[in-house]
Amino acid sequence: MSVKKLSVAEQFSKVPGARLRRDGPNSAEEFRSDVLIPVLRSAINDDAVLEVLLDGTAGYGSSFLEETFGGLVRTSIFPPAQIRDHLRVVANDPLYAGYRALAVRYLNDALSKTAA
Amino acid sequence: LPQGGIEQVSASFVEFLRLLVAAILSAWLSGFLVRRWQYREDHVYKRSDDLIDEIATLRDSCIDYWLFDNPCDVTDKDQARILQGSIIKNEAKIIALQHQIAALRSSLVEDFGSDAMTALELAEASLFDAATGGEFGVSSRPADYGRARSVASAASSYINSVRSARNAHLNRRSILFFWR
Repeated sequence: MSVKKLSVAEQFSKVPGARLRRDGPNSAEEFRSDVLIPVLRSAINDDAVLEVLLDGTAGYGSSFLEETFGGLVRTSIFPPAQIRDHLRVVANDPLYAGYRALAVRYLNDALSKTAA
Repeated sequence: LPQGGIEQVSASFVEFLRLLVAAILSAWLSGFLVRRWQYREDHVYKRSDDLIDEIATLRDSCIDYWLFDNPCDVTDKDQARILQGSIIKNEAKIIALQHQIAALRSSLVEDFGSDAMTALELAEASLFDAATGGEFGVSSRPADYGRARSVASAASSYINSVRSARNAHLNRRSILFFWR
């Protein structure tokens, strides 16, 4: 499988915002709907793995990460198996390792709830 | 003194000088190594203390934030603007504190072992989950006492993890230093 990369800092914003569009700019809802879903769809069509890179931003609110990754599962646009096979959350800089752990936790929690 | 006697004294003197130089060099090298080791340990101690201080500051800021109502029914426009500005300022401050904590934790990567770092990353994730999860950043929300308690609990766990990692590191380093 080939690998496609999506950098939150470079392809969305260096200052990610709150959970929903109504709560202000650069929200997780905006990122998920306008950036992540189209790029993930394209990766799935190309049978590639999408790596979402968390490095380079001025930090994340956990609500942003939850709405992005947990919300991605809840939208039910992609079957859980496709998300498992085609989406990776990556942090190359150790500074972002805690955010990565949190994003993976939200993704797995949402996937396990869907499975149940 | 006979010829052989002078040579003998010279040889002893040269031997004495060699021993003296070796002793001075050894003392200097030992002092250098001890100072270097001490500096490094002080540095780890200071950075982990800074990390603990920042975790405590984040905990206090978050407790203030979550115990405060963010109402949408303030009718006075000026009052509403001031209130909203104060909330947004606190949210920015909390996100910045989180990032500062992540930076301090990552500065300890080379000193603490990978197991300790994994434990710190998980403790950090739990603290961030409590601190800025749920309705963080939402325009209107009621006070959330449960979340305030969760933040306090997660911060204590993280502080304990930092102290454990530091103690393990210091024990390991002391043993290695004397062994070498």
